[in-house]
This record gives sequence, structure tokens and C-alpha cells, in this order.
Amino acid sequence: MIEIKNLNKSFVDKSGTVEALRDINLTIEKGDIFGIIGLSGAGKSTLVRCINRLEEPTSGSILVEGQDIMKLRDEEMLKIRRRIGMIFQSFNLLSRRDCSKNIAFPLEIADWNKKDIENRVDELLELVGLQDKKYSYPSQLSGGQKQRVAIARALAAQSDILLCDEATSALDPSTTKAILSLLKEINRSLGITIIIITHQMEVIKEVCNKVAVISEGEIVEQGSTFELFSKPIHSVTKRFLSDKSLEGALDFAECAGDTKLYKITFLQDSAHQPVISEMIKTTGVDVNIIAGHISNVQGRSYGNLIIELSGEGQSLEKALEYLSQKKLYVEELIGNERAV
Amino acid sequence: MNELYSILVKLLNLMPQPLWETLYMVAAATVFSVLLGTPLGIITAISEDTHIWPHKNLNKVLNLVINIARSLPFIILMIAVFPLTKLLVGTRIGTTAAIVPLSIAATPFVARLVENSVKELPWGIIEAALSMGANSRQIVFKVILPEALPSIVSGITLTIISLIGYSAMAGAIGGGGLGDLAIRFGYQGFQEDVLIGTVIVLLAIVQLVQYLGNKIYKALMR
Repeated sequence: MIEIKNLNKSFVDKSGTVEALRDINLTIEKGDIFGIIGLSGAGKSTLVRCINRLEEPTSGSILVEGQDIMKLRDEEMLKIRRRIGMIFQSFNLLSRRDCSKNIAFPLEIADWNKKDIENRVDELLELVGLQDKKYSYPSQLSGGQKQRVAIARALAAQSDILLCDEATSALDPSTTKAILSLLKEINRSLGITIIIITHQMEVIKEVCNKVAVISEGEIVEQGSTFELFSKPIHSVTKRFLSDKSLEGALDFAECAGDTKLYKITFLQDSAHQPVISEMIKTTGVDVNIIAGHISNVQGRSYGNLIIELSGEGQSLEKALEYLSQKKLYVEELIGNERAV
Repeated sequence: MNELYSILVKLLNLMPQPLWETLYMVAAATVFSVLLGTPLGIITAISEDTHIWPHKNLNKVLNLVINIARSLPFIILMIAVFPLTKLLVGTRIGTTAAIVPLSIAATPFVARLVENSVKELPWGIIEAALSMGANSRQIVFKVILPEALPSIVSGITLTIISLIGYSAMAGAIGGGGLGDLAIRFGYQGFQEDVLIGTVIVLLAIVQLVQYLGNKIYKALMR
């Protein structure tokens, strides 16, 4: 388990002090695949580097399995780092070592003996499916293969935490999927806790069970991935989730007079009930359906429906009350906040 | 035809001794300057503020020393280090004595080249090594040196070629060599054939060094 408490990080440069991270609080359970999503410059790379102290936090504490790593001396920190693997966007393999020697690197660092290194390297090559590339150099590998070597290297010294810094950002969509499923596999079979830094919502949707949204150095929203996808609250989160097809529909919708625009979110159970039909019958409200879709996040589905409502007298209020009784999440879309 | 033949015979008689002296001076100075300059260059690079072993004051001193040594004209440096040469070699003149100023002149040159090679390495590979718990010593010997090696080899090639040029001046303190031959016979003795012959031999040496340097560089690149 990793607990980050009241973490702050500021840089001092010529123009003054830049607060890169502000009062970050996160709890990452053992076995989580925890996503941290943010735009470039949001502080996500700084945050992940604080976890292995490649960046020195200004204040706060970071507990790894209950041990505050901020209090460790340098040599102790080096030992902890061996348990925290890290992979990068640009792979960062050593160009003059072949795959087996790249994977052996952290083991040499940790003073393993030759025989053990050899066995471990073969084991890892098998894990990432690159047995046939054992003696290939990085320049002879594709991006996906390089990242597989990097994953093997990051896990070599029996790491139980893996930090991924934009690990799929340089890869094409199908390679990204393959790397993500490898990460999922590693998480499941070896129980390794994975922290993924990304700006790609698809990455979070694909593998993360929990997610935190970071913006301008602050965590603005966090929760289970399903929760966050189905009911985003913060505008930054909504922007990440914004669905182009629904956006087009919004331009189309014109709210004149008493007509109001709503986004209704259906979670798993309510998706099967004829809610709208019943709402019309019981309240007499007029409904114009603008757009709708159903999404699937890791096997759980949720639906979004954009509707225009208008009605005489109290019918609009009644309709809204009806929807909330049905435990649907209803949100009025007004003016500039029409991000969906 | 006969004239050309006699020139060749003359050159073959004159050349071997100075050629050997040049090769000896350059080879020895290269070995010493690489042995001294490489660690100096690496320490200068990694002692920078943002690198793996930040030591601000040491970095400043090293930069100052390298700059001073590099700004001295070789001919002046050669005379300035006479006491040291006497201490190390036992004499101030001669081919072996010339190795001392040549090494001293080339060391800061190598240091700068190595420093640049180290700084040009992508920071990512060093960061990756840090993330695996490598200490500074391990990063220097397992990451920086091997990864920068091709670039360092290019630098050494450049150093050897510069040293061939410097070694010509060593003739002034009785160091001998091809430069000395060209000056004494060619320039002062008005024997243009010797002058041209020496230039051709020097050109051939430089070409060969550059060719071999490129070969090694390519073999090291992956």
C-alpha cells in the first residue's frame, strides 16, 4: 500500500516559486491499477517521481507499506527503489546492451550472482514474450518490444510496485492495447501494484480500477474508474471524458423558452427500465431526445442520454423529481458548461 | 624519372626517424591525455547542479582549470611547464620531454570532449538507472561510460589529429618529429621536395587515423 499525505512540491526558478504539486492525498491499495490522469504540465510526472524520490518533495509524507520513505537515508532509499520499478514513454533502454543485458542491469546493481541473473532474465523474457529477442539490441526492436523489455527490466529485481510514466504515449493504438493487457496480466498473476500516469482516457478506461484527476498540481477528483466515468463532477474530468458525438448533438440542440437541456446517466440496473416512458406518462412532460449512448468500462456499462424537457406548470419539476427517485444522475447543461 | 627516384631515396633516408618520433610522441600523449582527461570530463559533467553528483564549487574549479589550460598557446605552455618536464623526465628537451607538454595540452581538450559526450546522453537512461536504485559509481561505470563510448572514441580521434599538429611545434624544443623535419630541411633548407613529402606523409597519417576512428565508432554504435 502506498499512502501519500499532504504532499507539496515547489520549484524555484528565475521567475519565482512554481508550485508543481499542492496538498496531494492519495491512497493506493496493494494490487490496484491506479491511474493518474492530467494534461501536460498538470504535475503528474512530478507526482510519480516523488513516489520513488527521483523528485524530492518539498513537504508531506509518502508511506510505502507503512514506511515513510521521506525519512530514509540515501542508501536505504536506493534499496527501496529496487522494489519500485519504473517504465517511461521513451523506454530508456541502454543502447549498447542487448535485451538480456538490459534486463540484467537492475540485478547487477543489486549484486545478484551470474547464475541467478541468467535464470531470472530467461524467466522475464518469457513473461513478456520476447524469448526470441534475447540477443537483439534495442535499435532492432519495435516500440512495443522495447516497452516489453523495459517492463521486464523494471520487474527484474522482484519489484512489487510498477510506476508507468506515459508508458503507452509513444505507441500506436494496437500496441498500446497489447502493452496494457500485459500490464493487466502482470497485475493479476504477480499481484504487482501499478500506478499509471497518462493523458489518455482510453488507457484509464482499459486497465485502471481507480483513478485520480490532476489539474494544475492538485487532485481535483478521484474514485473508482466506473464511478468517475459514469458520474464525472469536476470540469477537467468532464473535458477528459467529453464525447465528440454527443458534443455535436449539443450544438444541434436549441433551448428556447421553457425548454431545458439535461444529461441523464443510467447505471447498470436502471438501464433496463423504461424510465423515460414512465416519466412522460406520470408527469405529462414533453421530451425531445437529442442523443444517447451506452459505454462499457471494464465490464460494467452505463448510459448517457441527452434530452430536452419542457412542460406546463409543475410538470418539469415533477419530472426531475421522478428521475431522482429512480436514482438517476441528472445534470442540467447550461451555456458554456455544456461539456458532456 | 631519375630525379623523382632520387627524391624518393632521399625521403626514405630522412623519414623513418622523424616519423617514429612523431608517432611515439602522439601515441604517448594520447594515452596520458585520455587517462587523465576522461575522468576529469566525467567528473565535470556529473558535478553539475542538475546531474547525479552535484558539487557546485568543484564544478566551478574544474571548469576554470580546463579553460585556463585550453586558452594557453601550446608554444607558451611548452616553455611554462619546463620545471615539471625536468622533474618527470629528467630533461627539458628531446622527444620524450615533449610528451609532457603535449599531454598537458591535450588533457583539457579531452576533458571537454568527454564532458560534452556525457552531457549529450539522454537524461532518460540515467533517470532509469536511478529509478532502479543505482548509485553514482554504478551509473558512471555501467551507464555513462558505455553509452558515451562511441562519442568518446570520436573525441579521441579528434584529439590524435590535433596532437599531430601540436607535435610539429615540439621540434622547437628538440622533440624531433615530422614537423621538425619539414621546418629544418624544407623551410630553412629550401628543400621543397622534403617539405612536400612531409606534408603528404602527415596527410596520410591523419586520413588513416580518421578512417580507423570512424570504423571503431561505427562498430560501437548499436
